Amino acid sequence: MAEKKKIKERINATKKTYQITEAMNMVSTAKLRRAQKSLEEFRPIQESIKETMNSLLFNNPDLKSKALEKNKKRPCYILISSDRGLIGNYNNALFKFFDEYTKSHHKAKDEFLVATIGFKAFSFAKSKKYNVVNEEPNNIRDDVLFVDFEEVSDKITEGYIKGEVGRTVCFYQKFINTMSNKIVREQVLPVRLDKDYKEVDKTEYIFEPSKEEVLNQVIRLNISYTLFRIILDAKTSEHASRMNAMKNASDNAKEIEEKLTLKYNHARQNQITTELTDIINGSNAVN
Amino acid sequence: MNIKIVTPLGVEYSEQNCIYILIHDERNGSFGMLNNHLPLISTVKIGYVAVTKENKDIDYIALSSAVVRNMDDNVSVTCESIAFGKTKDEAMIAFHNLLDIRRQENRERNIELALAENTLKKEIKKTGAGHL
Repeated sequence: MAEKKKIKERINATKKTYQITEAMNMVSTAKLRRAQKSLEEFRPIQESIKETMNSLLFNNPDLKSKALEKNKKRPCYILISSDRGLIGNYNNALFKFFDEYTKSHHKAKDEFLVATIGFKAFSFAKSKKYNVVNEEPNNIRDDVLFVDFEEVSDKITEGYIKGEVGRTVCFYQKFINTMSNKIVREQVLPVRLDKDYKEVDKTEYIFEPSKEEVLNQVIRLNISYTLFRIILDAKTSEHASRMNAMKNASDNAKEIEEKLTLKYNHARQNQITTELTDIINGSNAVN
Repeated sequence: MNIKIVTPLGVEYSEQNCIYILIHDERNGSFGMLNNHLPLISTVKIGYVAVTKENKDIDYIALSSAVVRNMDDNVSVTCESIAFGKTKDEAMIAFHNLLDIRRQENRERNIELALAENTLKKEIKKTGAGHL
């Protein structure tokens, strides 16, 4: 009797888990489609800023910016994770890769800085006692806005221009397709120029307040737009990973439910058999 | 004169046949543009754009880290974040409040997410998965 009750409780809990994971799977599928669309729509916007920067430098070869030059200060790594778990191996694989990379490239943790975007990355960096640039976790919500990671973007750009921070590289999960992501390292600073750039815009512009200031602003905007694109990419792969993880979880929950139902039926059958045996034995004893 | 304001989220504001466009930067001051203005590229670190429309109404849009480009009476403003207001002060206040509101929302959201995750973990534990 007690065993039957216990199994029934487990079946109910499994059913509830299945409902949650199935709902999360469907939500992630819808969000994935939206994220893919945002990523596709964002690419031309980023290209236009890149085009402005390349055109400005092509037409004014004497213009210089510290954001374009290499420096030998300690590098800064931007780790981009999700805010939430229940996502399979998404965060753990990234953290493992990052940990191995830093161990193979640096002897001590104070040889580099870490900036985090995403709640899980912040927790990981704090637990590993890295030199974390941001004081608070920067969330990446589905409706990500620039203000969400403004602190990181400003600190690394200012730091690089002032010569306090070296090469800046982003570590994130790049979206390949719904079934796979790839962990990539992408350099944000110094800004890499398009060497094959061919001039399209031959307009002679007036620059307000000066060419140098315009170039610096365009470069800053290019950095923040690059970060935004990387975050959108990471967000897309997060939804794809969650979709797959939740699909697997739902399948497993269904399998467990079936096994438990079988176990419950066995227990029920045993109980009936025992009760019948008791009745027969009792009846035999009376007769 | 036409104007469009682009943020990472796409075109967030566009207006056609404007009479006058004022660009204000908190550090460098303001300048205005009428029809047939020479091609220009400018910047705004933090400031606002005031667009005088055909019916003389004025829209105020506060923005940050913007690059303003004017060519053939088409003004395109690419920036990081924007906020709208009926007056320039209202737009600037809305803009400065954006970060605080968002941070507060994120803190609340983190607590909600942690609670939801714990509930799900408890349910998963109850299923006794792995002890079949």
